[in-house]
Amino acid sequence: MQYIRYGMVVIAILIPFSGVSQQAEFIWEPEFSYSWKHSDRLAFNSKTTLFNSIQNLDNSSSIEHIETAFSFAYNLTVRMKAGGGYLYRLTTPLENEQGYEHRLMQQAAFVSFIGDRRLSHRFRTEQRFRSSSYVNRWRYRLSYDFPLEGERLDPGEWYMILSNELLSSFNSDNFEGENRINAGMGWLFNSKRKLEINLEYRAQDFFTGDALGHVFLIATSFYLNR
Amino acid sequence: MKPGKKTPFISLFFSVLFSVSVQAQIDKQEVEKSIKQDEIPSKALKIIEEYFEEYEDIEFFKETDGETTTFEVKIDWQGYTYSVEFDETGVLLDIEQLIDISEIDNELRMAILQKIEDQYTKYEITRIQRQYSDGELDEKIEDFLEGDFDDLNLRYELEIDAQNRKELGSFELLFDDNGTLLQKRKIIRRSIDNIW
Repeated sequence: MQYIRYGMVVIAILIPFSGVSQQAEFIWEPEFSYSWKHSDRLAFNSKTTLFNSIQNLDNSSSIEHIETAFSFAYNLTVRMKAGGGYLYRLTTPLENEQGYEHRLMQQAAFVSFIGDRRLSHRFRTEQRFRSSSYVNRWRYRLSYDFPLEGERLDPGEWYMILSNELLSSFNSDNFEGENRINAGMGWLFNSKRKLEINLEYRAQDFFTGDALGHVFLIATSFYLNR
Repeated sequence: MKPGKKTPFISLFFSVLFSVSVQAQIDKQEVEKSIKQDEIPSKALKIIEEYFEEYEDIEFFKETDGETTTFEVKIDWQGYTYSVEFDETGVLLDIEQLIDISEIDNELRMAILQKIEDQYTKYEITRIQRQYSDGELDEKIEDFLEGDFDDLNLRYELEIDAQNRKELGSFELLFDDNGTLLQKRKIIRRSIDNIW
């Protein structure tokens, strides 16, 4: 089957990064996203995400954090949108010592359509008010998704998604960079529901002078939109 | 916290996720799939081989809506991209040629653009196809491919990104060769919530 071949491609893309797996952190990230359109121009989204440490699944530190976000998007043109939102994160919710984060987000995206193939540029700025510190973060992500069976993505078909994101975090004391490379496959149930499984590799702590941090993440995301 | 206390917390998250997933019935309607050349009716293949010699690229698709099945062949030939549609027995149904706006006769082009400007304050044409789907297509396909359009009732399908005070979106507009708007359809794009 064609989509099995593409699945192998997804794995092959991430294999070069597996050499660092001994020092790496492994995360399973289930996510639920709900979006709704208010008009041709205005849409809203809410999502909830869990970060589970796969290495600690048997103890109370398995959930590293849980977060929920609400955002809006305003279509400036058919291909360009701008928006923002708020995110709340609770860190180690099952431990006695917990942390929190209030995050404000502003973002803009430009999407190109080539039939049902989509290329998206997303720029995002964030202000992260953590229980322990304040951090700014700038992000740029390039995403590409496309159908695997024909030129059009029909209900009941697979699609593939590839992305790379550059992140820069800074405050008055620190400056660090991160790169996230992502390859995954999605299943379109119908125009309102889809499920995605993504494999992501994060290389962290650029510019800090310390050794790079490595995170491997499996994200299972369910998207519902009205 | 005791390990047992995390169970309800995780269960709540996944029960919400699962309950929504169960409702997610596969809703198959029109389905288009890429197929191999040998899955196309031989009669259709014969037509392609007869009229499109030395093509640069070719792709085959099968489309079904549950009741009817059609086959589509996309061909890059002599500088143009053509889309040729057949029924399931290989009878030629229509042919489309991807063109630029400048390739439409001046008078017709002005009429079409005027119709668009009457409806939208801003627009961008993203795709234009010249279509021919007469019942005598088998006999006239050669005229179409040679650019001899005098005796053909052509149609022009335009895809535009457009906006006015009430609407914003991508639209498909179908014009006849007098510039009359025959049909307008909003293109429903799938949600970009995964790449936004």
